[in-house]
Amino acid sequence: MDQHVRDAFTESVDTVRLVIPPSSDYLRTARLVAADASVRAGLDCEEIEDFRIAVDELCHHLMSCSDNFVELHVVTTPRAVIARGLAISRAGAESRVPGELSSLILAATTDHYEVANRGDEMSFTILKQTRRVLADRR
Amino acid sequence: MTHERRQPHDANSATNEKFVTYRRTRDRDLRNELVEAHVRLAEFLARRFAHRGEPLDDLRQVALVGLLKAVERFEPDRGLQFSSFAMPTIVGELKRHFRDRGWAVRVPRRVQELHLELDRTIATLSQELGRPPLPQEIADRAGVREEDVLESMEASSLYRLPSIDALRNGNDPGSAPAERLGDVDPEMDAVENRLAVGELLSVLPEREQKIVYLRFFEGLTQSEIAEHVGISQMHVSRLLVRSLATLGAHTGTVAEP
Repeated sequence: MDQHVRDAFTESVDTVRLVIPPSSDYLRTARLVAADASVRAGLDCEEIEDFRIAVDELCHHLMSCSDNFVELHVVTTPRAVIARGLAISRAGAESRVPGELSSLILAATTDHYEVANRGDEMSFTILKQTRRVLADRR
Repeated sequence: MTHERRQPHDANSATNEKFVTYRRTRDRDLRNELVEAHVRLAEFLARRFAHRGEPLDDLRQVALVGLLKAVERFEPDRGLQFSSFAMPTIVGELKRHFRDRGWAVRVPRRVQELHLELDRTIATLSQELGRPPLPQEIADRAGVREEDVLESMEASSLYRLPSIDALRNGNDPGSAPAERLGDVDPEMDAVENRLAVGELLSVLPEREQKIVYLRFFEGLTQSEIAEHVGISQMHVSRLLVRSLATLGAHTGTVAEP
């Protein structure tokens, strides 16, 4: 993990926790929370759109593998927004890594993302920083 | 697939260098060269949206506008390939084209109108500020609340990148995906990788292919699919379960509905 990504993870200010049923009907709820947190982090409208897309993609991924609730933590920092998703995998769920299309979307819309599986616990982390952070870094 | 496409790492570097130069110089000729170098991608995506009631020539123009925007916005030092960045931009432009004609999204009229107004506001502000505006700036200019801006973004439904594999279900016989992909763009490998999914779907009956496509590649909910296909949500659920079981039997790697 790059230093700037580590930095972003240590600067958390506010965390919103959302627990939603594993149904795509609730993706909208997740996207709205993601959008609101992005505003607080100072992202512009394109960055917000990117973050919403990424959260939608990975929440959908967790929902598709779980019968339980999906827990979403959205952390705002002064310069970035971070989403962490957690879910317990359904017994026998086979597809526990995002597909090719999802990976393409995530690579295009986030500054950093990780998907992890530990036992039956699945999780993801997404980081989206403001352009000005990236500009400062340069 | 030809092997010109599997390739030239050098071509990526050369393209990247051109983008770096363009970011620095904003040289119009170089911009045109970059657009022309990726025009096949725009053409390919325009065809993806063909046969939905809009002339292909119009879609080509819209896709080219999207390509132009992508060239303008692309930041080569962020480590992305241009095609990965350009595809969502072009697809977004195409979807916006349909949405502006009232076909793509069913949302309350008030929100539709607000969205169109905010689109114009965003375009104006982007030009004035030289960067994408913040929601508060959009809200201030449009005289609405910040929440209205977020609601409008949600209504836009621009958040799913449709799969290239949709071509296989299109109405464009005689244009196999490989033919449409062209033969020289080295950045199309990611697209090729997904064509295998299209092959996989062909084991399903036509209606189930459509349902799986709408669910997993267009991102529709089961209820939306039910409305689209004209059956109940429960029936969609059952068909998805059955379809995925069939697909799972072929690959052992398919997601649940």
